[in-house]
Amino acid sequence: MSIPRKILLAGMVAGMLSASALSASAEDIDVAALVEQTGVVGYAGQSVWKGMQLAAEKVNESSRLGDYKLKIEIKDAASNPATTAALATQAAKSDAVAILGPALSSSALASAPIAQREKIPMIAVQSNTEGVVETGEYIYRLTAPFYTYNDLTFKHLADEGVKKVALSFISNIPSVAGLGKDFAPKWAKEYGMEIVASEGTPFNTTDFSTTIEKLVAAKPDAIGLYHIDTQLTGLITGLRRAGFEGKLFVYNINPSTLEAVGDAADGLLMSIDYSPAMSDPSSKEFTDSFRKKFDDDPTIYAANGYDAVLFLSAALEKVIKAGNKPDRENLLAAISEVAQTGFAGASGDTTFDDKYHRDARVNGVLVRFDKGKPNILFSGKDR
Amino acid sequence: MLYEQLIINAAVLGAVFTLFALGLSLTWGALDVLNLAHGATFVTSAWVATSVYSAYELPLASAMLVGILTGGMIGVVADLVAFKPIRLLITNKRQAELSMVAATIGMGFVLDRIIGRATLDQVFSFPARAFPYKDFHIFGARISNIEIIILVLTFLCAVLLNLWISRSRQGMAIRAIAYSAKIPPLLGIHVDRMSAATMAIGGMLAGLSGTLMTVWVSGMAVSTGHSFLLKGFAIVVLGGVGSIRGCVLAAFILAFAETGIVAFGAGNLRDLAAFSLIVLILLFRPQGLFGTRSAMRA
Repeated sequence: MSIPRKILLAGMVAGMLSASALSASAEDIDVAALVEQTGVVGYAGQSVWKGMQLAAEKVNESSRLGDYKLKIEIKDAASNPATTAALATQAAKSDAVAILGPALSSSALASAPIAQREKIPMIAVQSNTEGVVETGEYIYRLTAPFYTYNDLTFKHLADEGVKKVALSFISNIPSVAGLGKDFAPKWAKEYGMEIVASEGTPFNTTDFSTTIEKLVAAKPDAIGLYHIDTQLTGLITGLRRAGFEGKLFVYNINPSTLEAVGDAADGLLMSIDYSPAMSDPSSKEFTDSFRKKFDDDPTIYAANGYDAVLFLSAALEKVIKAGNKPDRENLLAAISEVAQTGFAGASGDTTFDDKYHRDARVNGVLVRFDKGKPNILFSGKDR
Repeated sequence: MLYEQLIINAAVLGAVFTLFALGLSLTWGALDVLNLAHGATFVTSAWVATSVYSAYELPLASAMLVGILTGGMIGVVADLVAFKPIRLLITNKRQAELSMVAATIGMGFVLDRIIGRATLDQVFSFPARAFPYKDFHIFGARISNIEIIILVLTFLCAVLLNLWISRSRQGMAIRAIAYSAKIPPLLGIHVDRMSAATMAIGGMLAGLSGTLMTVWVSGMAVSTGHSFLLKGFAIVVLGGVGSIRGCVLAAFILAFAETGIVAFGAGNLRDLAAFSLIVLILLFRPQGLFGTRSAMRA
C-alpha cells in the first residue's frame, strides 16, 4: 500500500512541477489600459478598446512575443482626470509594464506626470493637446495631432478655387480652438485664401442659429466647422437650411452624426488620420480584420487603439528577441528604438516627431462623404 | 445680418429655454424639489421617442407623444421611489430638500448612464426623413415649420400651466403644498397624489422640450441635457422659483441676451450672459424677478 502511495505522491509532485513549468513558459505581460468607457469621451474610448483588443488578439495569435502573452486589463478612466490619475497610480504600483491611454486630453495631462514620476511607459491615444509628450521620456502619443494633417483640406480647397473661408470653432477646448484660431488661418493664408468670418463658441453650446446667420452673411465659399458631434448636427443642417451651398469641412465626425445629418452631409470634407477607405496594406489589414471581428466599420479611435498596441508589441518583440526581461526599463529603451524607425499600422506609415521622437506623425487622408460613405480624395503622401 | 432674423432666432431660443425651464420651475416651486435629473429626463424622453420611431416606424407625432409620456413616467417614478419616502421619513424641511437634491443627482446619473450605454454616448436623432422641414419668410427673415411649432407649443404650455396653477382647484392645491406641507392634508388635499401629478407634468414638459429639440437641431446626446440644466437653473433663479410668468420672461431675457452677444460680440462669451444674470439677480433681487414665494413666506 505504501509503495503505490509514494508513486502517487511522486506523480502528483511531478504533475505540479510540469504545470508550473508550462505556466512559466506562457508568461503574461501585464499592460494597464486606462481607457474611457463612460462619460463625455466614452464613445471614443469604447472604440479605442475594441482596436486594442483586436491588436492584442493578433499579437497573441502570432509568435512575435515568443512564449509571452500580452494581457491588457481595461480600467474605465470615466472621462475624468481625477479618476485617470488614481488609476495611473494604481497601474504604476502593479506589475503592469506600460499604460495605454487615456484618450481625453485633460486626463492625459493628469496621468502623464504620474507615469513619468513612477517610470512606467505611457502610450496615450487622442489627447490632442500640448503638454502630454512634453512631460518626459516615458510619455508617448499614438495619435498624430490634428494640425499635422488638417492642412490637406486647405490644399484641396485651393485646388477647387476657393477664395473665401469662414470658420466656426469651439473656443474652450484648446486642441480644437487651436485649429480654428491659429492653424486654419495660417493654412488659408498659405494657400491664398481670405478668412471672412471666425466664430468661437463654448463646447456646451446647443443653439447656433445666430452663429449660422453670421457665417452665411460673410458669403464664404467654404465653411470650416471645428466642433464636436453634438454641435455638428445643428450646424450642418442649419447651414444647409440657411441656404449655404458652398463647401463644408470638419476635423472629425462620427457615423451616427452623419446618419443624423442625412443628405446635408453630402460633399462634407474631412482630413483624418485613418479612414476605412484607406488602401495602404497595413490599414486594409486592420479594416478587414476589424470588420470580421466586430461586423462594423472601424472608427479613427479604434485605429488609434490598434496602433497603440501594435507599437507597444513591436517594442516588446525587440526586448524579448534581445533575450531581455520585458520590464519597464527595457521596454522604454525598445519603445524609443521603434519610435526612431516608425512602423506600419492602421493609420498607414507612422513615424514620430523630430523634436521629442515621442509624438506620432501620419500622412493623413482627405475624405469626402457622399451618402454617408467616405471617399478618399487624396493622401498626405501626395502633398 | 437682418435684425428681424435675430429676433426670430432669439424668440425660438427663448421658447426652447422656456419649455425646458417650466418643468424645473414647477417642481422646484411647488414641491421644493430642485430636480437635477431634469436634464437627464429631457434626454431620456428624446431617446425613447427616437428609438420608438425607428423600431416601430410610428408617425413622428406618436413617437413624440411616447417621449412626452416617458418624461411624465420618469417624474412619477422619481416621486414614488425617492421623494415620497423622503417626505415621510425626514421631517426637517431643509434636510428633506437636500436629500431630494441628492436623490435627483443620483437619478440623473443613472438615466445618463443608461442612455450613454445605449447610444455609446453618441448623437441620436430621428431619421432625416422623419420631419420635412419647410421655411417661411417674414419681412425677409426665415422661420421654419419646426420653429413655428416650438413657438406655438411653448405659448400654449405656458398659458395652460399658468391657468392651471392660478385658476384650477388642483393648482390651488399645489400652491397650498408649496406654502406648507402640513396644512393641505387638513384641508383634504392628497399631498402624495398632487406631488406625483406635479412631477409628472414637470417630466412631460422635459419630454416635450427634449423631443422638439431633437427635431430642431437634428440630434441630441447625453451631454445636451447637462448644457440645458445649467441654463434652466439660471432661468428659474432669474424668473423666481415657482413663477411661470417669471420663468417665461427670464427664458426670453436670457435668449435675447445670448443672441445679442453672439450677433454683436464674441460668441464664446454667450455663457457670460447666463451667469452674469444669476450673479446680478442673487445680489440685488435674490427672490428673482417674480419671486412671490419668498414674499409669501416672509
